Amino acid sequence: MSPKAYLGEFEQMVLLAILQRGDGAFALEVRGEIENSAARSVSRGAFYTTLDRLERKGLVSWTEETPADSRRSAPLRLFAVTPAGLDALRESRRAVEALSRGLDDVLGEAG
Amino acid sequence: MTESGVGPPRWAAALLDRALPPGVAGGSIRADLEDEFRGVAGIQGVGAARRWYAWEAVKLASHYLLRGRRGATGGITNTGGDGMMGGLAQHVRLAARRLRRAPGFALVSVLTMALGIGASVAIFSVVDAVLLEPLPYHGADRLVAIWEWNVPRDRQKNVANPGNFKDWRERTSSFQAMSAVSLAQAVTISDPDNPEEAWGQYAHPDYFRVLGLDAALGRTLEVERDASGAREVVLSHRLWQRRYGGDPGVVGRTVDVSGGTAVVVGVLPPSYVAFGEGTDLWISLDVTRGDQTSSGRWLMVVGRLAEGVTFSAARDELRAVMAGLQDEHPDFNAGWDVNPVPLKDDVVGDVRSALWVLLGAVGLLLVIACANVANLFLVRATERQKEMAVRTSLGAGRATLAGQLFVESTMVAALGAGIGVALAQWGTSLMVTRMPDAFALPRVEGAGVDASVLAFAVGVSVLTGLLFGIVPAVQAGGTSPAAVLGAEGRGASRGTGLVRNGLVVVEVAVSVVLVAGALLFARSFTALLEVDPGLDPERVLVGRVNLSGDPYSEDDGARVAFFHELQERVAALPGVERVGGISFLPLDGSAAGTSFWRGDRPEPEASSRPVTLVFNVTGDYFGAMGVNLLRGRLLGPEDRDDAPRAVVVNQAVADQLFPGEDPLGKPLVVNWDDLEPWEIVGVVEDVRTEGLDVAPRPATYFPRAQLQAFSHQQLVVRASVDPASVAPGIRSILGAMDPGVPLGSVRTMETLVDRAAARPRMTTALMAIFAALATLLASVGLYGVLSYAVSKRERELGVRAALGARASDVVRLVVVQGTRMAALGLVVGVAGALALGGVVSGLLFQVPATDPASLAGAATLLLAVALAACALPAWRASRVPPAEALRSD
Repeated sequence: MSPKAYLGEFEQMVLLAILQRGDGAFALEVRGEIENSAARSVSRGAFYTTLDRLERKGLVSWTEETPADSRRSAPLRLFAVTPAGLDALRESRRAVEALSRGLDDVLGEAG
Repeated sequence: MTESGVGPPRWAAALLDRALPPGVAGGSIRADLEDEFRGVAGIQGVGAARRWYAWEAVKLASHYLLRGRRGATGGITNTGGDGMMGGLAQHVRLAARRLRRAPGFALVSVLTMALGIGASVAIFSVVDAVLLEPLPYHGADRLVAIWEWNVPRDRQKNVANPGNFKDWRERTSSFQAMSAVSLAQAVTISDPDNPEEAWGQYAHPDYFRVLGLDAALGRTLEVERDASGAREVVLSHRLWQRRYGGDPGVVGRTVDVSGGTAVVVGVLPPSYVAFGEGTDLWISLDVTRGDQTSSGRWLMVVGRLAEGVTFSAARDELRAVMAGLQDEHPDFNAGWDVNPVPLKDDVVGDVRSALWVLLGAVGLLLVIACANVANLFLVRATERQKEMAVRTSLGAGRATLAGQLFVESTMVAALGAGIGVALAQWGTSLMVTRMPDAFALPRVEGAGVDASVLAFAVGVSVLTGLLFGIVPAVQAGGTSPAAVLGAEGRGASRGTGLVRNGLVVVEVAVSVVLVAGALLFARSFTALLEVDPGLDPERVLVGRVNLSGDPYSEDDGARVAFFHELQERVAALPGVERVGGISFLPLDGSAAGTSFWRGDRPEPEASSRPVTLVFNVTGDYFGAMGVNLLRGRLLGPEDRDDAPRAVVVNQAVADQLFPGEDPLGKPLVVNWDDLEPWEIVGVVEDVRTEGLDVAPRPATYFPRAQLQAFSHQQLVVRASVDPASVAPGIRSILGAMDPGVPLGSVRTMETLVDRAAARPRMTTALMAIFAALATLLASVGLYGVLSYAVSKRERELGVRAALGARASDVVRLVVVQGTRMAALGLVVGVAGALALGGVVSGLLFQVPATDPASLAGAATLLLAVALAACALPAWRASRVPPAEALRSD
């Protein structure tokens, strides 16, 4: 896996949302974070498969947590962004900034 | 685990178990969904939550199943970032969102495709019903129509002689069975009151069994006469509905058919009956009792190939048998061969090429529609190049982007196909039910949207989606982000310009082909309408009077007297100018003929005798029909049965038998009842009897009193008022004379002339519509391409203006650029039209397929369209203020 690989838009959003949630980055919370910030609904399928993919790329990791709710049938997964994930985010951000240079007029309006 | 009824549906949980990755990861995802389920249940109740869970589980599971679980188990690395199917679902959502955001673009593209696909589907549904669907009989592909072939006169489909039919049937082994049916003739059906004129065919009792057609009610024919001596009758579905109101009790009823007793044994289904279009009833008759000498040719024969026998083997065997029959009966069969034709080819043979040409024409229309939409996509793709480049930089694969465009184009095609199919369904059903005569096609009533038409529509939409999606998709896949982003936002690359120009060339070329085709058909149709039919159809009413039953069947003198009195009384009706009668009407599809020769020359060999149509006439037929006398006199009351035998011939007889001579007073032998000569007393102009596009054949007209041939008569009435208004008067006269004699097939002569031109009229009208749509689409497309090209060059044009170019220079620049492409299209189109000429030449009347006027007309029209399409963008370009153009970046 090339460390220079660009992240997809949604991958970036997932990584950023995990960082935003900090210590409470359980799957449901991360998904809620994206929906709130991006003001759009996120399909569960796309979300979980993206998490799997990021994990395979070595950009996120998770640990098991015992749930507080006894009705829950399986452990919770607490996600964290790996150092490689942080690098990838920085790389993407640089590329977007470079690409956005001089486009303030255009992008400003759209925002 | 949750209890059923309170927790999530068990099947949905099981589905997730199978779909999700194994281990903690999958278990955790399912547990997440169960957590949410409890949340939903708390707010909306358990029932709603269960439905919600089921739906979410299905979506989640299909997402995983379509992408495969391979990533999670670490087997295969998914480098593209998007699996094939998962990508598809996303593409579809994205495409739908994007089309919603550009409603104008979506509307124009979808409607253009709806037009192209709708027209294609409509014509295909007709082609499917008429040409492709098998005939509605058991084992229809093994049925063969067998005609006699008059070789010297090249009449390939002549009805057969009963004796020959009997010998074919007995002496061949290639056929499992063979049967025959007579030509349709007018019969009177009454039971016993309420007499009605109807079309009947005498059918060999095994005819429907050989055909493989079962009765819808009762049974088909079995014997010629039952124990009581009555014939058997099978009714058509139409007659059953019209006359008996669909009463199932009609089976077993005794009816009177032209003076004979018959028993109704069954009713046929409404489907197409071979050789029986328009026939109301079939009457049992053993036709194998005829011989090769006396009874002439009047049978249509159908054979069913035996198992394992090929058509060509059967044909060879039939020909060998016929060669033997020529030797056995040289006087009757010399010059006659046998011509078997697969039954379906026989049914649809003469409309096949017209339908394929129309299907080809809508195909071309579809190509133009695709080119237009492709161009719209291309413009949009260019505008979105930057977006694409940014997305590529952010990690979207090129395949993904190209795939997205493909999904978008296929979605437009599919939406267009949906609307198009609805339009086609509505249009064809309207045409078929409201104006059945407009088509003049066999089996067209079956046209409509069915499985094969839907399959065609789906195939067309996928194909067109690919066709107009491929150019922008390739473009998107092949553009390097750096090139686009470095191009200072000017966007349009050289490549897209080339492709757009190519589209213009294609649109113009295809339009030229279509317009040239439409002009050819229009000129051919005009030529057909200008044909002088040799009669004057205006204000002429015709109707059939049939005197086949008692007391007329035994006494032809009674018939002559009846016709005479009828005409006298009709002539006295107000508004009636002239009245006459004839055995067969021109352009009505039936006639009788026989061989004839000059009475003052030796009798020619049987195989080289010319043939004449034979008519008998009463009263003032020629005056009523508007047929002009050229020489001599017409037939009149003086030509009684005891008067010298007199005949009137048409100009074709005079030309063929008496070139350079005066035929008046010459003797003529007509091989009818006897070979006594007739004296020619008059020559009338040629009447087109078989079709407007069929050259007149020799025709001989005999006084009804002297030639007793037919029991019926077509009454011909010329009125000074609306001809339909005299029909009630005629009916009441007829009712007063004999209530058992109805007036059948009442029509105006104008209807008959119109019907003779129906098929070319339909072809011409449809071609004209397609060509008009093509021209419209092409002009819109041309305008779109040129105005876009101009808008992209605003800066350059502004620079030119700033450097001193006059407005007229700018206009010329734009117009030259636009017309250069159009001119190339014209050249390609004219070449294409010439190459395709052979396809339509058989459908044209008196116009060559290479008709220079049509080609020039098409080229001129498209050139004018191209200039008009250039004009507006050129004018706009010339008005761009230089300063604004230079600021536009």
